[in-house]
Amino acid sequence: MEINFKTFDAFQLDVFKEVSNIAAGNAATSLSKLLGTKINLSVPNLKILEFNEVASVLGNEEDLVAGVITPIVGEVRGMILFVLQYQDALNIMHILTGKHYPTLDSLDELAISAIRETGNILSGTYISALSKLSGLKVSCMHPNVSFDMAGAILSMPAISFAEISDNVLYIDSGFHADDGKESSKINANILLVPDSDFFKKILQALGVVK
Amino acid sequence: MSMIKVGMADYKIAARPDYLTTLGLGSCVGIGLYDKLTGIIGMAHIMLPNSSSAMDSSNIAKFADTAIPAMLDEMLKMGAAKFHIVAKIAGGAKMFSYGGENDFMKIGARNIMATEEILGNLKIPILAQDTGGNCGRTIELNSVNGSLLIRTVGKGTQTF
Repeated sequence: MEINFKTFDAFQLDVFKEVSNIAAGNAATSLSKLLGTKINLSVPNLKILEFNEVASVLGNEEDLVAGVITPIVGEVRGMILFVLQYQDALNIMHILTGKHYPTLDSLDELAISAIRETGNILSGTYISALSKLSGLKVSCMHPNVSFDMAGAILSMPAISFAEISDNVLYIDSGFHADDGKESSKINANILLVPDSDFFKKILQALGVVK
Repeated sequence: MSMIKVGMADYKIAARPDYLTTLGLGSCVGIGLYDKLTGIIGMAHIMLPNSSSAMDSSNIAKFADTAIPAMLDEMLKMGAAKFHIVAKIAGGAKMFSYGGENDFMKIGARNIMATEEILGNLKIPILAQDTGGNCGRTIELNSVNGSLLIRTVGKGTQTF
């Protein structure tokens, strides 16, 4: 039986949303520990997008964002993209390093690794939760960081889909930290971009489908 | 004058005095074609080099090898003359670099190569190009004088 995001029934969709929710919940806990703030998590959103909608999934195509991309390898494959507005990335850098980075030019190795590590920890927790839940062997490859236009960053997962489909599926979980101070406000998103047989394998492993 | 937006995996045609723009090109390549005489312009935003290796090639605007000839055809139908058409291209960046090189991460370079080859086969000269590197680009093609404005986050705005 062909199972992909276009043929999902309501039950399968719910199962996958719940799996994403648990994985994102674990990731939120580790982000909270890392940053020492309370993190609120929004319900995961499954978005099936046309390519021309991809670039604006987080706002404007030309918005400066920070992205950490982590390929998922093992029994299921795909990509995790941790992405946040540049100002929020600066807040994370400040919380983790104690230093202020006023411009893009002022970013040093420490600032970049603060963002890379944040992405690494989030993706790692997300994937290890997914692995534990499903019993599938899944791991993350080395994450990489880019600070650039949202459109340019978000197009990378889209390209990985382009040979097989005209749509992209993003599973989007939002993380929000807000303790009232502008300097520690953080809104970040984890986008899980699964490979074509990702769902089938997860649903099979969970015993939802044969 | 209006600014007409070209999305990812799409192409559009316009004429004087309009502009064509595509925002946030990463590894994708933006191809601007300009007929000096009639001012008919076209812009494509391709994601992949070849339609032949794809499982789903129904959207011809997604691939360099199908988008560029189709766009050229439409320009000719609108009255553009092939001998007057020139190209300016941008994009094909490597947005993320991994320790281990794989084909996927080289997609920008492959998109540039395919674009150059296809324009070469069609005998359309490339007058300017700002490709490769590791930054995202927004481009705007002016139908009045054929200039291509390229905006980046780090290097500001340049006109080609």
